[in-house]
Amino acid sequence: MRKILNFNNIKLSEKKLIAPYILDTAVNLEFAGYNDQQIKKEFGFSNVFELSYFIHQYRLCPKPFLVKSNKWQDKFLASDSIRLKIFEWFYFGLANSLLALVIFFTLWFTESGHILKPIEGLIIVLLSHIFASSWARILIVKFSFYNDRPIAGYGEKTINQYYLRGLFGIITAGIILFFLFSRDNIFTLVFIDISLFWLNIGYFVAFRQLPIYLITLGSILFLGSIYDPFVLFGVFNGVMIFYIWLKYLINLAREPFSVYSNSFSNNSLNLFSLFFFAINYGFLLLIDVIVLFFYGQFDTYDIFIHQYLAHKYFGIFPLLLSAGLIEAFGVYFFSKIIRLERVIKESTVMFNEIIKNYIQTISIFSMLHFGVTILVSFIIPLSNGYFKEVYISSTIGVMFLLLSLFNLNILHYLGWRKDLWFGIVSLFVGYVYGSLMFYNVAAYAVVYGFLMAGIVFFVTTMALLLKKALRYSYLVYLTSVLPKL
Amino acid sequence: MIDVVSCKPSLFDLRQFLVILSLFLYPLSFETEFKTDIFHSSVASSFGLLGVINKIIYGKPFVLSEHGVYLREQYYFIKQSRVLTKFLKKFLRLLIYRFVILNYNFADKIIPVCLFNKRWEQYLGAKDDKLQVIYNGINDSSEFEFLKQEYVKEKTSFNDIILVGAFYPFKDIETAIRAVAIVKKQVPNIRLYIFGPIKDKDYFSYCLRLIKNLSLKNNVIYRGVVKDLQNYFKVGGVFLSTSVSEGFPYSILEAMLYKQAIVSTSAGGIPELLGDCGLYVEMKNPNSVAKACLKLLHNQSLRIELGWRAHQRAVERFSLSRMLKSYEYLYNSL
Repeated sequence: MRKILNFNNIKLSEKKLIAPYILDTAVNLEFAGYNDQQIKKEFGFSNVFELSYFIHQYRLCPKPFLVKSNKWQDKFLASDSIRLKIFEWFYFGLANSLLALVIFFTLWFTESGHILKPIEGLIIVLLSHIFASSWARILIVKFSFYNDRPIAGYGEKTINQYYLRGLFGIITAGIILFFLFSRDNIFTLVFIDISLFWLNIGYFVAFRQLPIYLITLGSILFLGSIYDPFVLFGVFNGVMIFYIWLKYLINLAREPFSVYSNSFSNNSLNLFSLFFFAINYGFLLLIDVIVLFFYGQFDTYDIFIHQYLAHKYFGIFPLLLSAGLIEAFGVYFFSKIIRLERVIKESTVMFNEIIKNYIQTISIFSMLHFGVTILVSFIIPLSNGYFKEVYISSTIGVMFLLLSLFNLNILHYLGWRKDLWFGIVSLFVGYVYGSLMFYNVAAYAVVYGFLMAGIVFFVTTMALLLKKALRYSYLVYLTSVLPKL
Repeated sequence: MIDVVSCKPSLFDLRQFLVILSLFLYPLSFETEFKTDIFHSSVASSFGLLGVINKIIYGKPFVLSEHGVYLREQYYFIKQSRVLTKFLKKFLRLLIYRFVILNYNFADKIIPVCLFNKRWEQYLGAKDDKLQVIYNGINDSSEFEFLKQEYVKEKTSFNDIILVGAFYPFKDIETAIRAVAIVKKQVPNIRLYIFGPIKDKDYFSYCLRLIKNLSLKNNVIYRGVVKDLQNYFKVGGVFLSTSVSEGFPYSILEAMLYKQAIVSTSAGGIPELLGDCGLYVEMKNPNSVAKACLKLLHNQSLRIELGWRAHQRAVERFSLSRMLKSYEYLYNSL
């Protein structure tokens, strides 16, 4: 049986031995000191030609071209991966420090009883957007790498101009609206913040649909000056989620297996990352709206706002970061699995690798997410434990929902069609069960409904996944045993 | 196959393209009809064109022997080249590939010098019935006095290691130098004699810097190209080869004939040549090389045993007379 051709361990690609053509790869391997005996020992192939052929057959090599770019960023990214890592760590560190400052700044204001001034609010909005966009950009750059070769300058050319144009346009509109209609209402700022966030996502997800987003945004901005902002939040986010789902599903239908393939041409990978990002934000907003609706604070939200929303929305960013982490882990997980799956179809070792990776991914994510949630709940100086409870329950509920989505994606990868319905049914059952537990307190019913839905959904998908995995491992076992019988 | 069309050439590329093409077609400027019965090309390059023409027009048999695999080596050179543009690299690769296939298709017999080369030729489409391995041979005439030399205990210093090979990245002399630095810790007066031309000046200067940095000025001695190489060989001496790419190397064959205890990598056809008459080391691994060298330096009887076995193998299997007979038989069979 062939041994694992684990590219992470042997680092053929790091040694730059994988060339665009089979013959070149064979030449590179031999001149790097790999002879047939060594190839057989390390990879289980009889000679260099077989290994080279295999590498190319399963497209483990880069495409024979790279996008040429004279931009310094591309050169920088292409030049050295160690420098890139340092850059990333520095950037992340800086962004996180600033983020912490923003959170504490906001908390100080809210605790001391001040209402944020427009300019302060705008600064927070701008900073938060820089973080959000930089995070997205780093994600895109990071996962555009393949075999140590960058797909140079993805989105670099257009992101600045379009994003900044949109950003400044909407901020101007927001300021006008702010002064014209709701001078002392922080909600307008938060509203602008959310809109910008969606615009940012809209850019990445469906660039061609940007005009539609702008029209929607404009109409909502107009309506926002007339109607209740809560309703508009719901409508706007609903529309955006719909668009993203639509795009996501279309992509799935077109290229069902390319979502995690880390491939070159499509942007489904980025879509996948941002999809989670968006869903996370969307869920939390939805929960807020529902909680507020049941809590009946619409009339008194002047007092309520900077107690609840400031904490919620500025406490949300660590959560968003952790949502970004699950995307990263998800992509890492699937890229590794795909390589393993493609390379060693006959090996039972693959299944162990899958399980190991899955456990690692989930445990790291859970630790980070729980850590962030608990940390945020501690730093929120709320005298009212009610909000804290709502916050923790809702975020944990969201975490489970995210994990369930992660499971669902694995199920999809393994052939999920029938099992999807079990998942959805479990979601509703969990929600109803959670709601019934606290039916006498409306807000609790909603939050615990979500929590239970998340947990049940997670447990169900996990069970389905295990079932699939067991069946799959049995098949793997059979295929490895049958030729010997 | 290689996609040249998608790569847009510049004017410079086109000019160079014509120059390269004219060089490749240079053999066509020769007289095509030779007053010989057989056309034998020693490389599957454009010179094989003459053989192809002779075969098609005059019906003369065409024999092709390959000491190294032409395509494999040229591909490596092209990859390493800093002068060639992307288009020219692609074009050259395609051109070489076509010439090699042309040679293989028209040759009546293809003679790789070792099984290692045969693999490549098979992979590139040469038919099995055309392929015949004829190993290189060396003159084992008893007129050479050194062959009668026996081990002389008192006069021979066994702190010397000999390496015969050009200063060239393929020979991986860097690993040998690093291995000496490791051996020096146990054998302070170790000496590595390097013989051979300087084919790559950059590599040579790099090795010199390495020698300086590792303080091995007294331990690594470069003698260049010498005519009396056999005088440096002592029976049971240690001979080192750290090559990462080889065909069927004459340097090792000579060392075998001179009763050397050989430490070598298993690159190319070396295992076919050396068999079990030497110690094998990992490629590009100074520790492995040092370990093997120390083993031999500390074990006199092993050195002598390996030296004699190697000599016997060289005389029995790779004699010049044997090689000539094989070629004679081959020519007569055509």
